[in-house]
Amino acid sequence: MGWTFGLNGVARAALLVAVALPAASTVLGGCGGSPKAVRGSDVQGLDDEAMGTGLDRRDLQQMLHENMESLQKSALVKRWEGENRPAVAVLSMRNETTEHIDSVLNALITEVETSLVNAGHVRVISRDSQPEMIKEVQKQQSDAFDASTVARLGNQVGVRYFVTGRVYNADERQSDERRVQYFLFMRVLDVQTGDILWQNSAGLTKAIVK
Amino acid sequence: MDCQAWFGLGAGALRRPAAVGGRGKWSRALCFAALAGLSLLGCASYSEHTKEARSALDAGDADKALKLYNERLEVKSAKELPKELSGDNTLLVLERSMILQQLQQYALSSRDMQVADKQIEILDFDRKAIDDIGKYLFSDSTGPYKAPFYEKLLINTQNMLNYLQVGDLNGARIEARRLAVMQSFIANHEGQGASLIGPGSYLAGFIFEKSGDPQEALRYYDEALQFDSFHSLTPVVVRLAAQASYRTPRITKILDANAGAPAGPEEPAELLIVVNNGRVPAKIAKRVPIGLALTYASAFISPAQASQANELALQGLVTWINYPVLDKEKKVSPPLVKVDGRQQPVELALAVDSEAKKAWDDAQGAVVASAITRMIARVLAGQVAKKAGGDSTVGMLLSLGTQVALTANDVPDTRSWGTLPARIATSRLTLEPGRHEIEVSVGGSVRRQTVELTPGGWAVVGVTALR
Repeated sequence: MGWTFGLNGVARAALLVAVALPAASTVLGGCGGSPKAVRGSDVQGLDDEAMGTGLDRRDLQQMLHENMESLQKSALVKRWEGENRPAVAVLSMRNETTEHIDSVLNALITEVETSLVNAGHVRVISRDSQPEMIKEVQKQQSDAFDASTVARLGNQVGVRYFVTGRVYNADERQSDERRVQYFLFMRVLDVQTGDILWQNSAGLTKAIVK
Repeated sequence: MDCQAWFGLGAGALRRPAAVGGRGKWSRALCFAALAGLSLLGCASYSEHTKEARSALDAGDADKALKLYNERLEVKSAKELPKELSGDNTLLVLERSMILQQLQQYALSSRDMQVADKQIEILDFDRKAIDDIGKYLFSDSTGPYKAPFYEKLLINTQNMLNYLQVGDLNGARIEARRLAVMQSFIANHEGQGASLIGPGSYLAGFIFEKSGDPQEALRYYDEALQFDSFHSLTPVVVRLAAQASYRTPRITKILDANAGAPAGPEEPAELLIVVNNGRVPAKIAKRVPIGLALTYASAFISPAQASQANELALQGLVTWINYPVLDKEKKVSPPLVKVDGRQQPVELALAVDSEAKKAWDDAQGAVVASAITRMIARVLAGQVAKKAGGDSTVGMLLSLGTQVALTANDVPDTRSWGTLPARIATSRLTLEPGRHEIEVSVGGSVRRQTVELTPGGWAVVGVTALR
């Protein structure tokens, strides 16, 4: 016995409209898979993937590597070698970007300290051993940088050189893209004279594109 | 026979041999009724989902409103973010951020705004052509939420306020820069007028002034003055102009008008009070007669569509259109600010409710046009189904079912940042260093706070009353 409604192609189309369109609209509303935790070493390329326009570990390492390479090649390192491991303190990196990356910049200070310690040319004065003084220096640096005050405070902390820096960016948005160009600017100051003995800027770009 | 089989979803359903008697017809009718009922249950609009929370805010119960938003986001507390930030969750997080601000949980409010800020940008980029097509075929709510410009500008503005209240100039500067990026984007696409946001520029100027950057501060203050005449900025501009070279005709005019006026203290202790008062009208679903809807949409639909809609209206097939409108505006009284027992002047920085109305007026025609297009498609689909089923009961049921299914899934897009204040007002004072008692009466409640100002120091007190 045949299909008693006598449904033809048009009717089927109408039925499909009735059923498929609402279903499609539901799907358009969005259905996602279940999230799961993964380990970077188990997922190839996980650390390579950009998760946003902020700075991640790989970005920091890239910019830091470029800057430290420049420092190692500079005349300042030769000077340090002649001074029998002078004392150096690494100050905070000022965030002049459009991203809330302060925790990342704190990690950067540790990376800079590690790099200097391992290179062996200088003694790095831990921020933990001089918290109040370093805090005061950082306060000076964060709002209105005053080289003479920093020099005075540097003498009190007992360091010969300060490593300082800032991160800034050029942030642009278009209809279907946001591009953030970062610059990590670092320099070394002579506490006695306030002279800039070395400086370098490394850059990279992060973006959200369609 | 189940509904799924009836709709032909099962394999070979359309070829299924069946002797259809009266009992079968009625079972199909029941299936349609059940489908319609189920569909309607699952298709409440955004504003219906959040209505109870808005009522709680109206009653001054922000804690209850927060609890309801957390339930909606399926999290145990405001410390948590939802597992998924896609779809309406981003908007829910944004709405929650203002309730957290009212409850003075600034760190959590700030986190919610940061997350929503980034996600709304992603949603903008993620918007596909199919989402726009979907608005004309399936439902007004199809596709990700697209925030109007004034909402985008107010995310960074309100987050600046969060950071300032906890004295975090660094975080506030980042928000000020983000605001500038958004303003630049809007200015490039919509013209400079659309990118101006008075309280945003005012706060950004304050942030850079207190960060020791008078040049940048003047630039932002000038932008605020371009938006509105903030009289409280006159002595500030005069003071900063002595330290920075930035000039525009507006700044020069202020300097000329105040030439020879006694200079104020060089490093005054300053108090800035920002009051978020009332709530913007929510979008709600409304049924309007087809004739009125055609008038609203006249510039957005073709003459052929208009004539088709008119024809269907004349046949009595269509009488109403369901689409979103702004709820009635509530009267918002200005706040009363007292410092050390004395009443202080208050400036209106932004009527957010007017911005919401303006944005809706601009969007309304296209929204109604898409609603009319969907309505025509539904009726035509119903007619095709009826024709296929003949003049029998089955034909009528087919027609009814088709229209019911499509209507049930057509949800008016009532999404908007409904926890924004209706008005933002400021009061800026130069005070003697020391302890000061602040009292702000707003929305039927009174907030009291004590601030300690150091010489040359500053404090920002924000009061949010979303009633």
